[in-house]
Amino acid sequence: MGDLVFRGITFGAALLVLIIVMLALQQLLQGSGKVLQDQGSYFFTGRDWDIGEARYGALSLIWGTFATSLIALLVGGVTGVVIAAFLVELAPKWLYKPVSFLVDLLAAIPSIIYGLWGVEQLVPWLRTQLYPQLYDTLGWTGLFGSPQSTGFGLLTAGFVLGIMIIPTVAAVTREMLLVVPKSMRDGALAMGATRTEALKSVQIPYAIGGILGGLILGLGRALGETMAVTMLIGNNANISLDLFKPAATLSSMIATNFGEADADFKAALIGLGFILFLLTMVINMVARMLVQRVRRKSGVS
Amino acid sequence: MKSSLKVLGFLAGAALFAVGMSGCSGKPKEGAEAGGSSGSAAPASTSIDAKGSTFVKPFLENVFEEFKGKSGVTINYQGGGSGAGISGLLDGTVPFAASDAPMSDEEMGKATSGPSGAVMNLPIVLGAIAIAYNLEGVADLKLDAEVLAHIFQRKITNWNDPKIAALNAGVTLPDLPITVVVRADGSGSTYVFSDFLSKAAPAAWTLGTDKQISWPNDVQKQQKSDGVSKATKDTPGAITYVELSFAKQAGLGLTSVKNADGQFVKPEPSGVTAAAENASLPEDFRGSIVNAPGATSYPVSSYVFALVPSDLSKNTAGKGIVDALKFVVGEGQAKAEGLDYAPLPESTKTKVSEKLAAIKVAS
Repeated sequence: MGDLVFRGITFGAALLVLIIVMLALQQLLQGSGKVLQDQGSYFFTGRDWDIGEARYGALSLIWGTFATSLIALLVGGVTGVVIAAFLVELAPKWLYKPVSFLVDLLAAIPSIIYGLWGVEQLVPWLRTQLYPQLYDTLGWTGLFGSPQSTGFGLLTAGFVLGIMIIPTVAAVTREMLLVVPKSMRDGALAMGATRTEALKSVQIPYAIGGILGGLILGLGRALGETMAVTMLIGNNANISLDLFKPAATLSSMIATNFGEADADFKAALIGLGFILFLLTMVINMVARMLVQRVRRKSGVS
Repeated sequence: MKSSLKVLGFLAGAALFAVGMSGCSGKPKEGAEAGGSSGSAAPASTSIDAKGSTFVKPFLENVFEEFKGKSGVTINYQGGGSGAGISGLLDGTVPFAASDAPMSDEEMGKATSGPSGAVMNLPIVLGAIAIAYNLEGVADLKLDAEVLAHIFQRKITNWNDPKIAALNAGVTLPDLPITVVVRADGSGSTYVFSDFLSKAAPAAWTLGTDKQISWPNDVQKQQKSDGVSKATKDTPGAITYVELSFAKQAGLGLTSVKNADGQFVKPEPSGVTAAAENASLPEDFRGSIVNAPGATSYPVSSYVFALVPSDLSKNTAGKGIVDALKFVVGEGQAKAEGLDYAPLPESTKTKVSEKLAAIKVAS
């Protein structure tokens, strides 16, 4: 009997997940009905997010969300994997424990603290040190388009997001590298491979599926992150390749405006939530497929 | 037997969660209304919730705290923004609200047919929107509405522009790009500032008057007053519009703005009260006092309004609300200047007191 009750409860709990997703979707659709009706497909493909004129095209916000997350993945993903490789393979024992601990701790810091740190410390440094240099050396690419930047903008937000996802990526990658059978690594070393070679040609390929999974977790955090981004991005909906320019993301737009929004505008903001919901779902699905394909290729199931 | 028990177990579990969920799937509105009315239906130790303008929050909190000591009535002024206050009033979740801008005709109509009934807009204090800047070595900056309109529409983008220099003879203006910082969220400050530009520079200013306007795409938007003042403080060459107290706290430069009489006036409470004395408001107070005549008037000034239903007889806390507002426009005014607000002119005080006395309350 106890077993049955337990089964019932666990089944109910599993069902709950389904119900919550359905309820969320239904609420989002219902709340955004007005904007979907008024704006039609323009809501998804329009470039103008103009509250004064009641024209709600979310493309610039989708761009902001993607661009910041991509920068984050470049900055945080690479760094996270490198940190994990160092910890597992090269770090001396006395360093391994404290650094691992700190990496885990970083993941637990609330995002508003990253935002505050970004505003107080990072932005002034970026504005006076890094950004002028980027402009001088790489300004010709058009990505760093103005000699004078305020320090608030797409690149800054992406940068801080990158730092935020380092621990996620590093922790998952570390775990994945640790479960690579010792015999495989030892085999590679026995055949004369250096540690770097073993890492490159045996351990990382073996663990690649898991590492990609970690990157996707990081990407997920970056996509939905709100507080830190809102504080750093400049909140002006723009589509521009100039990364110094202010931009806005789906979540930052919702966060800055929801409190004051009325009727139509509120529907538009809920609509943004709907887009974010779809976006995360699609990205997760694509990511899963990617992981599976890579795993099959690398011969690990 | 065994399998039917199994089914029973499943059902029990599912039912358990169904019960749990039904609480969540109910209409959220019902809950909110119940919360609102229960707040006002607690006469034992009266506690009243109100929402609205964050600009006026420090002042109201301060005054309501003193009022609590004298009357035992607690008013929780939660802030949240003028827009949040108005929508709270319209859907009946708060019995009264405060706003930096008067309610629109549409909102007035909605209120009349909604749970609050007809609403009055009553001035309770005055405030100044400072044009605050960050320019090292420039202690005094003079600007007029036309140049401000050009700056905030990104037509003038460098501090050494001849149009700025023409207003500031004898001041060395640096060759530095101007960074324009504005509010990202809908805001009474944006309303007042754009209202001033619309009235004082109608030819140059093309973005209209609203709480939320279509800014050019290379301005910095920051959230709330502390967000814009902080970004301005951190960015050399930045300029923004923000409530006086925030500009002062951040230690920003305060622009002298040219008023309707051609005088350049710094944002000070005395200039704000002068503007209110010299401006003419309609009988229901729903007007603005920007660009007011008078040599000492600060032109980017505004009233803060309490939004109160004219019939509170169904609300058991009605008397508490009216008493609290009487206290605000009476003794409370003495607190205004210390907190960088400006007290109401005597004539307005009298008129508002009359209106407050006319509100119907349960005896």
